[in-house]
Amino acid sequence: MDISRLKPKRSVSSTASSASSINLKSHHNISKEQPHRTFSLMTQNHQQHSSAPTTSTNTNSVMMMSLTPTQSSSSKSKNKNRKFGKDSYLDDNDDWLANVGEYTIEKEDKFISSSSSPFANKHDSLFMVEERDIIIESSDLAKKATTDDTGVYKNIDDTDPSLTIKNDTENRLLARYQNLLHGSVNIKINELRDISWHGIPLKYKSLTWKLLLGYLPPNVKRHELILKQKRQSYKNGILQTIKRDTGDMNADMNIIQVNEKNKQAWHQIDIDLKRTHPDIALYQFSSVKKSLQRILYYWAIRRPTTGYVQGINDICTTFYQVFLLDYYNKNDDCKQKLNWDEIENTDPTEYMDGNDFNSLESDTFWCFDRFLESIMDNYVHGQPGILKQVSKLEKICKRIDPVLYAHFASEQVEFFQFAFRWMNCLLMREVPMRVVLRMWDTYLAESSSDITSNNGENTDNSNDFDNDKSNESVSSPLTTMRNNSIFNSNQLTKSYDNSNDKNSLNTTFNNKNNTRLNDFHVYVCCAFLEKWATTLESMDFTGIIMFLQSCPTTSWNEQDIEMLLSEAYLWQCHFKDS
Amino acid sequence: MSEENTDTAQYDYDYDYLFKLVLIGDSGVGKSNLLTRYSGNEFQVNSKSTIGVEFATKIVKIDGKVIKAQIWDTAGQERYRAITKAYYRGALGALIVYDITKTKSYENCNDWLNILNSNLDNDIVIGLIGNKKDLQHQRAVPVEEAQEFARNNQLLFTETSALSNENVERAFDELINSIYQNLKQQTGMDSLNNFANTNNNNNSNNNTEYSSTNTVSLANSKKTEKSSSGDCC
Repeated sequence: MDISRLKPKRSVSSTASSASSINLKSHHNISKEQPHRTFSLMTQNHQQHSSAPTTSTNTNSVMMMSLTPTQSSSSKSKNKNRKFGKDSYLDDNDDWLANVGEYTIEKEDKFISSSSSPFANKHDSLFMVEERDIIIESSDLAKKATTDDTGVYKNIDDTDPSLTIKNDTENRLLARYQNLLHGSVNIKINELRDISWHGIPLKYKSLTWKLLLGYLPPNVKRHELILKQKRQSYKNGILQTIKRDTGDMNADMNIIQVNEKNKQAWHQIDIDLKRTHPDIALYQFSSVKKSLQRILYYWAIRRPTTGYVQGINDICTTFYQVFLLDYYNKNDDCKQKLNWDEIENTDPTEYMDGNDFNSLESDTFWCFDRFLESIMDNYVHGQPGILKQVSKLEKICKRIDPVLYAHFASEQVEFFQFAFRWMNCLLMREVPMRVVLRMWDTYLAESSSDITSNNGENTDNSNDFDNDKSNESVSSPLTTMRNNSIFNSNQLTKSYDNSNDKNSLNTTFNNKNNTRLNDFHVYVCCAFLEKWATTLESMDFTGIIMFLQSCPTTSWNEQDIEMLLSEAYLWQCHFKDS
Repeated sequence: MSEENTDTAQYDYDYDYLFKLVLIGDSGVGKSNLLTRYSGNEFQVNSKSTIGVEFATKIVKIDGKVIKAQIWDTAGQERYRAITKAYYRGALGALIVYDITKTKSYENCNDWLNILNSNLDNDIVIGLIGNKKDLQHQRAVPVEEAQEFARNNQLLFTETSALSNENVERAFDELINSIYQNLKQQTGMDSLNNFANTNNNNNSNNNTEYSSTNTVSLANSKKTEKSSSGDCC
């Protein structure tokens, strides 16, 4: 394989144009596998694939854009829009992207449109929507008009026509999710996983995450019962823990009492929560801190071989924040659009009662536990999972960017010095929270098949109360806890032995554990490192380490992370067989 | 001497000796804040817990020699010890930090000392720092007790406040100075180079925007030290 073909253009800022031009080149190599996993890269003839069944009234309309710079008139009249629409697009079947000057489009891209992939048709219409969206935003010159299939122009209420396009895009996506999640009794998890890779709208994010993690089963009818059981089980588990530790038979959820043995964990969680997301108001409210502390503490007690590890508090907050979406605006008509701004600045006690908190905590706890279980090697003693990932990152970097690799070597920079945190916190410390929340749509989609397929197979995996033994589990969480520790101590022994013998790392860690997410994450880290390659090559040791411990990502948005994920996916495909 | 400061501050790589130091101690005692205070003269209210290790540098001048201190700030949680131990190698000095309001963090200093000693072949200069001196009303560890401990174990000792910027520079500078004097005494200046990495690498086009190095001169550092704490060796 010619690695050099893959090498991305060096660019510190992640402009869509530079990245897409490379990716397009390499695209045909992987298009047969899963062509839908990239953003802004595809140029299918979208009209042929509008197969997604939709329910929204807006979804049949076709979005049109006129992209020539001469039409940069500021007039917002319907007539103008009509005129632009007519003049600027030729036909639905034209390759409209050809008008976008920033993009490098090559003949071979046509290959994609005739792809024989089973995934291709299923995702094209959705995919095009996303792609257009990105392009619209990335091009100031773009002027848009809307129309429906029959060529009748829709009224445009907004003063800015781009908003209409965006709304239309969103409506399509929402309809797609609505149909998937509420269209039938059995949710098609595979399909959900595939579209989730591209980002989940806030409205469906919470439910989708729970499904992807296998916390909720595909059968909608069972949801209510399972949630009830899980929430009861969480509550009972905490109360029993307190009773066991303190002998207090009147245990209260709100006053956690800690015995001497667990004091250390409690204290560590306490001081870490004081400095968790210090930039987001939500995490400064005492209601939230208490809530997170209960979750993390209970988790640490239930997972004695791992215990609490600094950094998992960050991971926990992603689930917490996403599941808050269930409660925010719960009582409104949901006319008002969900957005993070308000959630991140409102004390949840304003819209949640005690029961709500219990439910939120329980959902967070179980999902957090499921998710971490799949990457447990990262957190057991010696953290072998992380060592393995760092060494893999190093190997990949050596292949795709020998120049940077050599520079690091000459400056005596070790990958471990900067990449440890990247692995330990899944890049959460490197990018803004909003970006993380988008990134995790993809991560959960990526890890979902492993997590959900483990479901039921691992009978000693005590966290699955979904199956028939749920009643038993609810009534005796301590039994479960005991099983759990047995499971964990076996795992620890294995891991520990391995950490002393690096050569055997590759072979033994795959048992039961999901390496899929870890594997993908390494490629994301690789793409992340490559973003700064040019800058880094001009720096000395101090400069490199200082730069990499505070990468300039504060202005990153969802599109930046989507580019990164796409690049990571392409790398992963190319290295799959090697 | 001070006229040169501006020059050396701009060129991070322009130094005579490189001293590697490590910051250790329990979680939450303020290691990271001490380091940001020392290297960049900032106190970050919004600091997050350290994962693994973090890093900063500072240029110090002694006897007209430019010394670059390369300081590794380690995560305090026990889980990370296996990881952070790797950073002790090659260190010439270490600062063990505790929180004067948390007895436990002081008691653990003995463990930290043992960990250091068992992971280092050569003797290094070690300083004990009691941080959060601004929280006098919550003090749990008496100065005298810590002083005594430091004396018995031949540690430098200072109480500091990263928040109010009290004694921070002094604690680091003393450690660095002590390393320098020790090496000078033990080996003579000529062979000092064998111990501390000498810098010949002037070809790097350093981007000062990302480096928080500043220059201080030890000769001028006896300014505002109204400390009540003792220092002993």
